[in-house]
Amino acid sequence: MEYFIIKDMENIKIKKVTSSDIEILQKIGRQTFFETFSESNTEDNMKKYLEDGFSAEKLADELAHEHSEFYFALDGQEAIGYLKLNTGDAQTEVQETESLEIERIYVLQNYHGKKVGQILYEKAIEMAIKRKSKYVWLGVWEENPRAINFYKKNGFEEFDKHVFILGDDEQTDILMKKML
Amino acid sequence: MNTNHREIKIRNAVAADSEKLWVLMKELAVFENYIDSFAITPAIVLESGFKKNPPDFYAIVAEHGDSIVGMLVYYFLPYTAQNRPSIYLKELYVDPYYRGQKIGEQLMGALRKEAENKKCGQIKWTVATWNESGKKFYERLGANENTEWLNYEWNISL
Repeated sequence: MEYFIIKDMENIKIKKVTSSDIEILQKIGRQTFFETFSESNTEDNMKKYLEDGFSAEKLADELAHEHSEFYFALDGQEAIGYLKLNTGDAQTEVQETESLEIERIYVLQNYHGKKVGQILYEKAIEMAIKRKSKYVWLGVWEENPRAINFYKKNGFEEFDKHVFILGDDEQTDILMKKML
Repeated sequence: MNTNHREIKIRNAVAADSEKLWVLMKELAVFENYIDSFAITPAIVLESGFKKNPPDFYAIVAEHGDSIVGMLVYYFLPYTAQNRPSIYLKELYVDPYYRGQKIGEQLMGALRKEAENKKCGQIKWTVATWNESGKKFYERLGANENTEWLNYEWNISL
């Protein structure tokens, strides 16, 4: 019998992303998106999304939005994951003003299985509780069972579906929520 | 959302409070300057306080609407020379936005009742040397500073 010991990351720090971090955000945003979706999508669609979806202008706009926040998970100085939260009118679907959306939690593939996603997720819950949000919600690609299971394990339930466009391909997100 | 008219409710914490308790524990860790060694997660709160039997700690919360705005965490010291258990008050914290409403007094009052119900002889705790408002608060309650005993500790590294 073999034993695998996955050491949890002990010194992951969470840092709020500021406008001076755009290049780092762009780099980790592209890399994690590529690692997550490249196997299941065409090269053209990926290329288009990586260029448009993570342009410096677009990220600067997102960062400047008063109802959006980004956080890095840092291992030492290195960003190994990130989180994007939306409230109010920054939410990607119309919800209540007292809800909070986890738009993105992404962790570099090399750091999967080390609870980095859990730490980012807990940051989201912390912010939601502090601002007294009624519930936290998110959309997750229906073909991402790893993420769906993660949120189910953390008490989220499906409440709707939503179609989005990746390149010229239509895909479905499952919307999940958790009451606080 | 108008919650101002709602009453503050003092009650024992339940498993579903774990995440909200964790947020207050974390705020207290920031306030008392031990956030760098704070190793508690919501899952640990759930396991230690609500799944384990007996639990590692007990908690009383102050609830306002859907929010937990104050918490008190304690455990029992079962054996004392007086042959009555003591209670050790581990944490008391009230959301800064809700201070000045006697929430801390109400939490301490609930703890005192618990001590009476469990036939305890004493409730004890520590306060940071610099926490002047904390000291005033405890003295106002009628608690006394213990000047006879010093706190010692022996840190163990793994």
